[in-house]
Amino acid sequence: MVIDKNEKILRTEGLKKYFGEVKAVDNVNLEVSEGEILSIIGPNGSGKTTLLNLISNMIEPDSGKVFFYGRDVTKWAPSKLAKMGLVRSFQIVNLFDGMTVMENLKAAVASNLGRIHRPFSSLNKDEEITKRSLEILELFKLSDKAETLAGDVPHGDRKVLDVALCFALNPKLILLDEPTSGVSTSEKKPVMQRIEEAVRKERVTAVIVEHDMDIVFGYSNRVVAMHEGKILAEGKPEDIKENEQVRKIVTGEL
Amino acid sequence: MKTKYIIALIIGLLLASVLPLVIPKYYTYVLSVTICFAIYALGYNILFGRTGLLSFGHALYLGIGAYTVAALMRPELGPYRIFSMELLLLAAIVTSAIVGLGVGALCIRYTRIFFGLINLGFVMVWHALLLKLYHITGGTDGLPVYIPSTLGITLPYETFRTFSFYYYVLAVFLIVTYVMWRIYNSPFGLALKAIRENGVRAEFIGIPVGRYRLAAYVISAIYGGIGGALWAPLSGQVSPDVSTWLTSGDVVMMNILGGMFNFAGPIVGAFLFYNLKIQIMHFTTYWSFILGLSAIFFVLVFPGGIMGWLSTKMKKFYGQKA
Repeated sequence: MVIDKNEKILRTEGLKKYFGEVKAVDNVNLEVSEGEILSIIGPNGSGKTTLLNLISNMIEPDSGKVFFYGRDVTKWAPSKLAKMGLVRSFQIVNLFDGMTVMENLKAAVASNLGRIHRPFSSLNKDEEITKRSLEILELFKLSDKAETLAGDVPHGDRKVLDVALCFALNPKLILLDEPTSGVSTSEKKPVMQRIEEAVRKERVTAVIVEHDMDIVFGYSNRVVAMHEGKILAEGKPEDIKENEQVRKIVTGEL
Repeated sequence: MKTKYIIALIIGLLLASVLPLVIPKYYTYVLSVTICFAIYALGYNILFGRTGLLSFGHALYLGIGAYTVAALMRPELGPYRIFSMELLLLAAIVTSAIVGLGVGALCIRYTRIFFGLINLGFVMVWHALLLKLYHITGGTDGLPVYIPSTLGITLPYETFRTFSFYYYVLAVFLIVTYVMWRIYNSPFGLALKAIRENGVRAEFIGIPVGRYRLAAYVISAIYGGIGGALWAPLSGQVSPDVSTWLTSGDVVMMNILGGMFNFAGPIVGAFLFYNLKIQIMHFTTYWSFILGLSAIFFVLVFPGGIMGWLSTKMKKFYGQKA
């Protein structure tokens, strides 16, 4: 794909998705610039995950469009989006549980390197796949779990692996859906740190969905607050933190 | 470790080549038929054990292969009759691939039980067609299959089914097993495994799941076709019995008995299942009762199949992952 650097890496235009009466995502126009880390916050049910699902084409919008580097990708299959560099992680861990951590990564790397359509070449002798998989393994500090089945590693590591799979795809834009959900409070910070390090090191643009403001404030360049399917406010983390409306609705403070 | 495998392979090959010289003729025939089923089961497993799609109608392809061979040998074809086994195999590969592509394109839109049942529907339709289009298919009687030439040589009729063709079947088996081994250990094979484990995530890591399911389906169809094509000359006659829900169920059984998550599982399963069936049939007419009981026994005692059980034992013994 030819990348037009003048275009926003991601832009949505009037995205809309209703579930019956519920306006899950209601006319959302979002812009993401290359290189930024954008956090989308909001209470449960505010439409954050649905927005991510629409962008990644997990579900189809009722109306509206998604542009990736200016190109309309609204109807692209997730596999095609992944090929082009738009990838996502999942709130509820979504791994290949019966495969080892290393195999999980190798599948993603092989896919990214365009190797999966080779039915007769040897996977283990493919040094490029192995090398890149080991790099990712190290980047996310999963090396000691390489040969363990993904279904058998602790939850925190599973969350990290879920994100690591995205990085194995050599992404340009990564959508992270609550990367620390279900992780114990004491582990949240270290998990987030591992992810943030990777984002900086790989120079990836990231959109992070999180309902816990404190987790993301330290890491984001910009924050978007959502409420009832609409964008409530957006701006620098410190401004959003001071925003009365956001404090009331998102953090429940009065 | 690698040399161990090679030594085991050489011993196995020697044993397989010497066997027909020592065992009774009838058993050489049984062994050849077993190998045909092993090819069928091995192919089935790339769909079932590897990609996670359970089909209840895979005997369609066994039938396509067998009937392709019989149809191309029909006297009505006059000078165009084909007797070369290599050409017949090629034809069976082509027909099963074409049918697999068409039927598969419809089936892979569904997964789980729906996938299984649509396939069952197709084998039932095919079975009915074989019965009713008797001008072409010979109806219930089926079609005769003559002795093909192998590598351009027409072998003597007397020993063909009980001796010489065994080596041909064995050679084809070794080739297709090697090809399947390569597929299992390729990045493509890993992609299929990822689809089995989690089809949704597979799509999100860039694997076009639908196309890959179809590819696995076509490969398994081709293996079914090869199994059927090799079996036809051994049997001397093809009839609609080859393509039924029963023969479709047999292959599921073979995979489960042998171990669907192990490469050699379907091969071991085919040997076990078919030979068990033959032996039990020899001493009782209630063979399906006994076969059913033994199937229940094996599934309860070896939930991962024989090979699954063996490989965990081996891992424990060597204290490492094999």
